[in-house]
Amino acid sequence: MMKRGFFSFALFVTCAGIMPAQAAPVRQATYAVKGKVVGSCEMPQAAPLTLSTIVSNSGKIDPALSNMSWTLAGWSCNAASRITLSARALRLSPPLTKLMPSQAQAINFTARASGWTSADATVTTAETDPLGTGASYTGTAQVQNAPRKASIVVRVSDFVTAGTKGSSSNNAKPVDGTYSATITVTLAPSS
Amino acid sequence: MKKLLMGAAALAAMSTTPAFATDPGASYTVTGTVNATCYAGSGGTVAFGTIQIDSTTGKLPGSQDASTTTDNLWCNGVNSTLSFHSDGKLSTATPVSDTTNFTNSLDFTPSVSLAGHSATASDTPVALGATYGTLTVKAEDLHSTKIPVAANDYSGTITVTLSPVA
Repeated sequence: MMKRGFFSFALFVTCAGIMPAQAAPVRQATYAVKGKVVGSCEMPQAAPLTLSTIVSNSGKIDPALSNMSWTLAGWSCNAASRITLSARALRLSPPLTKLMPSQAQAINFTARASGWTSADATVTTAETDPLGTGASYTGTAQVQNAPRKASIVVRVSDFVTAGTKGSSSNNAKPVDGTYSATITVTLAPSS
Repeated sequence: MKKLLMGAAALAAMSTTPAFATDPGASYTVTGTVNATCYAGSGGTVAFGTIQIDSTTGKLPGSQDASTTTDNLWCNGVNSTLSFHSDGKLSTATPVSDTTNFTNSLDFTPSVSLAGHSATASDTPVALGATYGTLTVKAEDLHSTKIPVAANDYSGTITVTLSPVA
């Protein structure tokens, strides 16, 4: 009996000695790879846009100026964006320091940009002094919620001399000369 | 003299005593098994940070690399291996609506190394052996095959696997 017990023990030890080492499960660790691409907008540098007109004997502004438009191609924003228009009124260049009564050297107008947002971005200059001040006026920003690549169409309209009160028949007459205005289209990422 | 003779007789008796058999005994082999295992840590973040695309070309700036390190990782099995899984892409949680003109997918080249043992291809184990050291996880050459890249938060993963083999 003792002999069988000893034999059994010896056999157990032998088996234990040849058991292979067990491997633990594989170990994994996950690394998140992160980056943030910030918004930016690409816009072309527009060449100066020229309006040329002749004021008739009536002194009224050529109505053909209204709704003249320019297409600006190659605008792109990789994020949600805001488009804003700002403008300075058409003003005699160089401006005079004095004017005769019923004359004006500043002409207000409305500029409108379409093609970027569902509602057009607009601005209307609001010079009140016939001499003009050269002030810059800024319209309300319109928001585009998605990245966009498109052309923008800028249209001008509603020209009226500064200092006009009442009906258009009482419009101040623009003095002759070369006028210039500035329309600035600002496109900025909103994220 | 009589005592001396008795002593001599005793010696003689001892020297002529036949050898006895050794006491019965048994040898015991002490064994133990150390399982192969690895410690892979709990992961981390490989951060590219904020990326400004070129406002003219819409491309990502060149040489965009990122990496992170984790110390004190190991495997004790002599045939252990190191591998990783990654599709090498970053994407955004929200898709872009204008897929014609913009992309929300970026590509990078993933790799991992532990104590000088480097794995450079996804799902391709490399021999590691019994190793202890610092794990480096890299995401290199971030780029996009399409431009411009939409602004957003981008994310992807690199999963590191340490396989313990004795």
